[in-house]
Amino acid sequence: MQKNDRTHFILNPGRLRRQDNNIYFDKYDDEMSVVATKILPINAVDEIYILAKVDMDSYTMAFLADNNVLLHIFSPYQSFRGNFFPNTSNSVNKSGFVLLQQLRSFDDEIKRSYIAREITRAHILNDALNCKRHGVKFDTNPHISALEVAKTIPEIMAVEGSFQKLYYEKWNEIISDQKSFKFTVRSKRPPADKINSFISYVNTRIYNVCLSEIYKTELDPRIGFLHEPNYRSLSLHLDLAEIFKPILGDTLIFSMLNKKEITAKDFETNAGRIKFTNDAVQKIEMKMISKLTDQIEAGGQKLTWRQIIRREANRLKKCICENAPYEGFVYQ
Amino acid sequence: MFDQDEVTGTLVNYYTTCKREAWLYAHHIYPDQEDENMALGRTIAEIKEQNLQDFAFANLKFDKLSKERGHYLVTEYKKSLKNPEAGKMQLLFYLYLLKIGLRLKEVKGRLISGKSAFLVDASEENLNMIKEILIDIEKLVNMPTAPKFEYKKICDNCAYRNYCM
Repeated sequence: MQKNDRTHFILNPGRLRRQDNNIYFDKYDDEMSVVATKILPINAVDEIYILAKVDMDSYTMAFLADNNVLLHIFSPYQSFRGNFFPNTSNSVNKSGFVLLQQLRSFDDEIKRSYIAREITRAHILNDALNCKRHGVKFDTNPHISALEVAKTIPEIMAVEGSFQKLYYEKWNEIISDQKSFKFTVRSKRPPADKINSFISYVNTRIYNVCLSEIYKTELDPRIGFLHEPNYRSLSLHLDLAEIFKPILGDTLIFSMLNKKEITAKDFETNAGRIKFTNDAVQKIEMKMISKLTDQIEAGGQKLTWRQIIRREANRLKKCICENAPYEGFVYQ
Repeated sequence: MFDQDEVTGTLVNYYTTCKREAWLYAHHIYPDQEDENMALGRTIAEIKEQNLQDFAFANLKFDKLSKERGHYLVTEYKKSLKNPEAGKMQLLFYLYLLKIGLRLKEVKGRLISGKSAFLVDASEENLNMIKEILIDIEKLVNMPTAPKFEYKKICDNCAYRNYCM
């Protein structure tokens, strides 16, 4: 089935209600009176991000649950509050068996490092192919052989770290506008320069997409394999995103910068923090959505990038549940 | 331990179609909910009679129960009759439970898809068959791992294809 991006954002206060097997959204003004009503076709919505104060009743929530619609709820300052998890006979996401198997594979040192290594290998290969596509030579052999030797998770992380540093140095050869987008060092929280802030923004988006796709399978996003799950709430989506960051995120950055769709003017600085202007966010989101709905051929099927991410999650699930060999997705 | 009481009509249907599918379903590993055929099936399930929702039997989720001349008739709607064996087994499972649990004397089953339909009879022979299948299902689901994946023609249209293949 041809799918569009089925995410819906609610940015205004209002009321979400069920009427005639469909979902309606009444937008409120300041005095809580309805100013506009919008229909959200239930079969064309997968997940709803709620970023404002929204009224809802249990009747509506049960209907959403029946149709497998995920709700992500955020506070007014855009920090994450939680999800509404459908739990009906139709809904997925409640297999005790898969959770047990996931915990067992995590505790099994050999299996955990096997999965972590496969994810890192796919990440390295995707990065290198990215360079190749832009006519930059990149030799991955020393990294791949170092990866083969690496036994523990810290060793794998070290291989990945040293590779990532070299990879980011190659960016200066790919991106033509060296005046404002020269890459020196990766910095986060807050990103120090424009290129870092661009990377951070795009990566966050990919993390969120991976997270929603993980929620549609029975996997538990709290238990990651490459990233240490102890000190954070969710980590499996970071693992999955490693594979897709170079394919979706980095190519988007390269093409938008090289085509001059994003220039130095699209950033504004406020008290040392760099952020995008609203126009730039819109431009990036349009590109992102068209990228995610692009279809490619994989395994004899035509799939959108979102479906590819879910397919990858399913393969991980198969590896976890049945000890099947797992190989990370490499985009040729 | 998985018990015979937990068997549902869907599980019987899956068991007749593909053993691996049944094992996965019983362990709550569900197929891709966005699959086209899944969406169609869910829409067809909406034909269901409303008052059946609070039917006394939790495992019975057939679409319609009607009283005909001298007997009860259980109806099940299907998207296609490509796999009549699976639909037949599913209906037999309902008939079996109705006969054993509710002690209804005469029950018949009917499978409907579009304009075609066929009847399933709750004969002694058929009921013995479903009895054996229920024992087999219990054995299968209690196995520690799923049966190995083997490619068949039906796999191409299965909602589990992204998981199995």
